[in-house]
Amino acid sequence: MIDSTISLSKIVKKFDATPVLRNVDLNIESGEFLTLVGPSGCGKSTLLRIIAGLEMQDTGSVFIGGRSVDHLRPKQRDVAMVFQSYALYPHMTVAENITMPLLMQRMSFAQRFPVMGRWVPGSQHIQKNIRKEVETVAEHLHIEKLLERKPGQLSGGQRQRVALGRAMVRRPLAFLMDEPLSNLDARLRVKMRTELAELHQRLGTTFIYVTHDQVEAMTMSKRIAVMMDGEIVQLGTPDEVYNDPQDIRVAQFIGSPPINILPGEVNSAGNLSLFGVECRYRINGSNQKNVKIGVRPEDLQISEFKVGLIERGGLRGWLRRLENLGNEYIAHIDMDCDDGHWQIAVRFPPEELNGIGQPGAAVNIFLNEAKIFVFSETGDRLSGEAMLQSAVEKAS
Amino acid sequence: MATPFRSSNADSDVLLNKAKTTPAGGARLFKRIGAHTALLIMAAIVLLPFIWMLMTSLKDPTEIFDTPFSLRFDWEKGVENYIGAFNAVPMITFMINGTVVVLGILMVQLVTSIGAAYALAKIEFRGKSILFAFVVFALCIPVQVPALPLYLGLANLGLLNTYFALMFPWFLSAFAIFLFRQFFKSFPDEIISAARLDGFTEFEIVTRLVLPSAKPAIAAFSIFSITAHWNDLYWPLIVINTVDYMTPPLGMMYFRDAEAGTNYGMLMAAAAIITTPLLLMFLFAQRQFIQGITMTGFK
Amino acid sequence: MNEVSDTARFSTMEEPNIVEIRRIIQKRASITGYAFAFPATLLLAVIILLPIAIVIFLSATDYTLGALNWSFVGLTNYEKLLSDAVFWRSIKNTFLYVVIVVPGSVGLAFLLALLVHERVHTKRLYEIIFFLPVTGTLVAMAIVWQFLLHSRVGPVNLLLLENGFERIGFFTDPNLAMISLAMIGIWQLIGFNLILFLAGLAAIPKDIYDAAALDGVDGGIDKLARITWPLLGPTTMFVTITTSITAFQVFDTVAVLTKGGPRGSTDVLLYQAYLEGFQYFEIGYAACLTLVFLTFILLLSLVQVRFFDKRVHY
Repeated sequence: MIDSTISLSKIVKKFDATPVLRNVDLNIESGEFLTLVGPSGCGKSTLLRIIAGLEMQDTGSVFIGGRSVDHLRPKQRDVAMVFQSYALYPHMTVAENITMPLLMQRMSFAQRFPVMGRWVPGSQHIQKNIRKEVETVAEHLHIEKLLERKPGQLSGGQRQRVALGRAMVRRPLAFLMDEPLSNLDARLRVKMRTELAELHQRLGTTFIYVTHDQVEAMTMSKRIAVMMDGEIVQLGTPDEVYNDPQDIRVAQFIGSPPINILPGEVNSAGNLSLFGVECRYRINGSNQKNVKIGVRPEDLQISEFKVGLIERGGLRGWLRRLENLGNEYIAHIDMDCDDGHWQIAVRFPPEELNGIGQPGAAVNIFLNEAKIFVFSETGDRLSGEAMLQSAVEKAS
Repeated sequence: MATPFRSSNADSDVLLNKAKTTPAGGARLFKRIGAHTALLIMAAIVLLPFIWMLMTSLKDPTEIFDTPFSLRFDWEKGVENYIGAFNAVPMITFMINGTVVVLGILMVQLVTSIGAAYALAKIEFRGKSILFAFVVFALCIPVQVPALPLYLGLANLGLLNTYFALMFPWFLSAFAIFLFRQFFKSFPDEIISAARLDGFTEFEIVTRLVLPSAKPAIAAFSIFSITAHWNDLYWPLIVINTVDYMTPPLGMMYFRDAEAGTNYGMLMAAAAIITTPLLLMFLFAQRQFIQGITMTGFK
Repeated sequence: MNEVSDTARFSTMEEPNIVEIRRIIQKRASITGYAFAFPATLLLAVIILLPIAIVIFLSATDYTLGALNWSFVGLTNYEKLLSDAVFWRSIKNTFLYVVIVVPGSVGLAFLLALLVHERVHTKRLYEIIFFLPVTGTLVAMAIVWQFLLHSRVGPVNLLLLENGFERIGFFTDPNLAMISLAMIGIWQLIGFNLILFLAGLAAIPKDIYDAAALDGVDGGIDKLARITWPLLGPTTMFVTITTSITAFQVFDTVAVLTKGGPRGSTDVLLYQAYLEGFQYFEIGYAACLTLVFLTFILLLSLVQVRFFDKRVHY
């Protein structure tokens, strides 16, 4: 099989004095679908452009298919790129757009010379072959009827396919995609998401996909690299990134509604308490006193307020608003304690509604200690474990 | 998975350094030098008359012919040339005339075109599309076309050799109407509706809401207009034949003919005096100048 | 359906009022519109429309300034025009000027724009330098050129002599005078066109060049012929027509430097019209020349409007 691994070693890039990438290392396997996800300005697009050769790193190296490509120009790196704006050539037809990379690859300078080129021996024959391949790709993408149109006459989704066709026709070692779906409307985006995933399966080529949309990252890729401030803060499967975040920024970036971050305290024995209520959770080997507790909205349980539940480890809050999403509810809870005011989101299925719904009413919140993440004040994940059965189980 | 960079880590830095200088880097440097050489040669040709004008204006008449290329300047002679230019012809009058004419034209142009542009952009009235068609037509008509009847009319009214004659054909600027209409069209209708509900009159809407937002267009057009009319020769040549009302270009021509073109030091000093106000304005307002040019691209 | 019947029910009661109110509002808006547009409309009529009508009228008369009698002569002026060698010479001279100035100033500006666009630190400086002739008063600068290219005392000729060449009569040789004027025209127009081309270049999305670099189009003739040139097509069209219109109106340099000479070699259409109308006061004949000039300008403008619709690729 062709080696289409991509490796980045100690990539550093500064724009003027501002560091954009700080020492990025990354190994991407042959045929992998890897997503670079992060908020805008985190350096993910710059990283992609460095792989493509459109931008030169300050230090560090890029390897594609096992060989160093730092000295190679973009066209020599054998990668194709799909741009957010699609970057189609507006003055050329769809067919000409898709033809371009093959034309430049296969025809000599004389053969492709404007106007005169067609009389150079061999050029007609190559043209014919290219045309066949372009048609095949177009059929694949169901755009064979659009070949003679210009990009200006196409819809967003159609332009997207042409951009894909232009990338596919070269059979590159890797596809680099820079937010390719962000200019599409929501419905089309969902559809293209599936199509891209299927395309990846069919081609078996390496895909590097840049997005700021965590849903795209979670649904499409085998591995996700979460980037923050020019660094990869976590690299793992979607499951690992969601269920085992190593950094508070990762926890906060992935998941919707976002994870709840609450103030916790650790006593000398390592026991964790939240809002003064002791949790059945112990921190391993850390002398942190104040910590941050991350808990996803679905890992909290909510019930009507009963005095007795407080004694069993429940927290008291007031329902501010209840959102009905059809298949689930999201409750926004106000909590007041000595440290100030907090808002918590709780996600639960309709069958657990149990009479909750009056805004302003008091509710009980239970924490599932097995599912919480504890972070130091600087945002690093602290290891720890839940003890015995959780309060949730006790309550029910 | 084998990590390729571990094995070749040692020479990867070398490769990177190479990539930065050669081969692309070398070609780029070569290209840059070539580009600058071509640009500098063209720049020298373009600047040649300006440089020559200044050089000659700072020299003694005999030196101009004996050693025309010397870079030795006689500042005293230079001052003499400039004073001479001011004394030989009423240079100050020309400059004042030019200023009065360009400012007068600009004032009237702004007042008339802003009103018409606002009406064309934001008010529905009968005959609007006909009016706009006429504006587009007028956009294509240079002053030389209506010049004959305008001259005959002004002559019949005894208005030749007046400021009014100099300014009148320019009171209407189809370009200004067109440009401002484009600008006003992009002003949000919601704000105008809200202002009408708040009790603004149409006049207040224009002066207090729309105009402030059109400042860049007004600035660009003003510079465009000032440049065009300061430099215009054709119309002043037709309606003015007394020194008292000559504008700078006409004055320049008069000066050359009166001095028979023999005293080149003074002639070049005069050229410098007449050119300087606009060049200064350009250096201080480059952005507006360049915007003004690109706006003509929207025509 | 429901909505319609609802409105219908209400409007049977209030219809006269609403129609009346709407009419009043419409009328009020119209009045405001007229008030705003009136000064410009009046000027438009007095400065452009009426004079054009009068020019057409005059072209059919034998009116001369100061004459007490004049009469309709029909197409006589046009007949005279068409058989006048001076007229044909002025047409030929004007076209010669346009044919040199348009490709010269458009082509040079295009090449310069490609070079200036790539500059980072010096871009502004070059823009300023090349734009200076646009702002410089043409009459004054023409007189400087006259001195520079003077056949006896001009420094260019002195340089030629010193280096063993013969003098060149830039403005005295009938074969050269028009070309010299055209060079001054190019010199003056380059900056203007350069700015337009730079705006066109700046409007090309950077992504397109990135995509092209990946596709293998990353320099030299390929980039120019496949990307830059076609994408600048509409700008080039616009610049070419604008320049043609400007070049067609050449007057200042002729009036200042050659007065149509030597031996009529720089006698252009507008200068001819100026002489007939304002020096010889042959108003009827001058009106004819004006209409010829107007026809050319309108034809060029028509081309411009035609292409205006096709200006953008997207």
